[in-house]
Amino acid sequence: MPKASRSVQLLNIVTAVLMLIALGLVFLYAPRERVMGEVQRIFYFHVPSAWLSFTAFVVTAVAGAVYLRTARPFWDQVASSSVEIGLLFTIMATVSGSIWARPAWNTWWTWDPRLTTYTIMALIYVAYLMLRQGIEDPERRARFAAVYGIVGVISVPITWFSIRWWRTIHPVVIGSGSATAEGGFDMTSKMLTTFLFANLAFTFLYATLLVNRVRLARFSERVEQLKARLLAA
Amino acid sequence: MQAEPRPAARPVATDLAQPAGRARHFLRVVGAIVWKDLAAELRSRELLSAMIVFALLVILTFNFALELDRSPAARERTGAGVLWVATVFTGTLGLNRSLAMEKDRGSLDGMLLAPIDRSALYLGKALGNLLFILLVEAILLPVLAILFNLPMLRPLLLGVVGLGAVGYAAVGTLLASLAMHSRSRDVMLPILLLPVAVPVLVAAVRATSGVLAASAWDEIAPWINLLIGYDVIFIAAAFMLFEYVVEE
Amino acid sequence: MLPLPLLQETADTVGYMLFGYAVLLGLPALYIVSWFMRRRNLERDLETLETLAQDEKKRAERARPTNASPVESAKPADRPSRS
Repeated sequence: MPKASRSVQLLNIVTAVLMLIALGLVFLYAPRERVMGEVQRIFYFHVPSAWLSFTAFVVTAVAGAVYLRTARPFWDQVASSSVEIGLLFTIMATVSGSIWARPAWNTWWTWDPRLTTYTIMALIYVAYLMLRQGIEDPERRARFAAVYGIVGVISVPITWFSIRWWRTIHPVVIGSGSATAEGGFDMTSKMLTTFLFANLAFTFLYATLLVNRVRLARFSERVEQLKARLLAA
Repeated sequence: MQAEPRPAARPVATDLAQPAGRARHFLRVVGAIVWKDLAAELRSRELLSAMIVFALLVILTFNFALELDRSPAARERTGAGVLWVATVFTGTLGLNRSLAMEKDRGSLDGMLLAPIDRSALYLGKALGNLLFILLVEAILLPVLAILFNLPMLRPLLLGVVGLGAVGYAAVGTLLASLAMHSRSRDVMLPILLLPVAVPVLVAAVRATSGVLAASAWDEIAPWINLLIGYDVIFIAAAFMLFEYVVEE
Repeated sequence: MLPLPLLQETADTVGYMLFGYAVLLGLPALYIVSWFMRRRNLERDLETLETLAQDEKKRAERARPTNASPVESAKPADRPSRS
């Protein structure tokens, strides 16, 4: 695999530093929440994971659309890489949320509409990966995945808006009345600083993961091509 | 079957220059495709009878699984759910078969070679699938009404069924044409379709149970609006994306 | 009368927090480890493929000079006799 370019290496280092600072803020700077106690600190990584998972799936749809226009394999690699990372963030958000819910809501899981829709979104992108696995021809695989990625992303705003359509116990983070929902809380300015910084760090984390995953995908493509050429010979 | 879209290939050349002529040509192609599916079905009666039997079996299964025969309260609570689960499952059956047949007989390649608009091809297939789902509903609704003593034949409910079926057929036709080319296509369709169709399902179930419980219009209206919104979005998306699915 | 939250005691939830962060940091770590494994496998594949390609080339080169000479036609014939 070709060595990472200077700028990729720089990005890797910046992300690592940002993540370390974010962890420092979470554990040393942010105050302990009055009612829920320490577990509330999960919030600083839980919410950015969830937000970045949405971002990742939107990137997949956009890259898919660009692929359909240009037919350049690079965009398919971006799309499929982003799905993988999006699923990683989805699992992180779901599991950490579940661990937080146990003391806060007294249950590991609720059929809260937003949780449910979030799970459905995860299933859409698992289906996306399964569809890719089921198609041999790389060109058709890329095309079909792009189509499904675009169809799937229509469900992401639904996830987002579902909170308005059904009553829910999942607290709305930003906006009024956040402390009234069970498990909600008022953010102090230190909490807000930590939260915003964690979002920045996670955005960098997503970008870094994507860049490196695309590098791996390009390398994998090269090996596949060589294999195909040798088999044909 | 390959030769069936012949009427579409016949239009006079000058006709196509005008927008009205092109629209008429488009509709004729769509009609030809729907008619082709319908004629094939009338000859074999393979798909529709399978769908109807399957839908009845789903109802029967629910009857035992949820003990629907016991209490009217249970029936009122779950009636809408039973209707839509039966529709969704039967729908996957129909969608799968409708596109698999197309591929196995090679008639899709034939249609792709014919000088027809890709969106006409999509619309034709989607309308055919919608027709099959609606025919199944036409059996399901009275059966449910009789077996479970539910007011299934209210006009508003028919509207809800129509809107739900349109959205489901729209996205289902697109995804079935994706699943058709994958290695395990019969399994692939429900996996691709069900999570995407959940919003349609939720809105349809809520609207249906609202109608069954004779709720106020204010309570039903948001769900109907949601259904209309979905139908529009999914039809538009499918229209734009279908050409990339069939492009070879 | 105090507002309700002030009357509540702070819950002891350190264990949950640690569990949560173990997941939040462990999952991406595992994911990145999986990359290195995939990369190693690919590199091994590439190595095999490259040696294969080289063998192919060498064989082609060895075959070329004999190809021009009439002796070449005898070559396939003596292979079965050797086995």
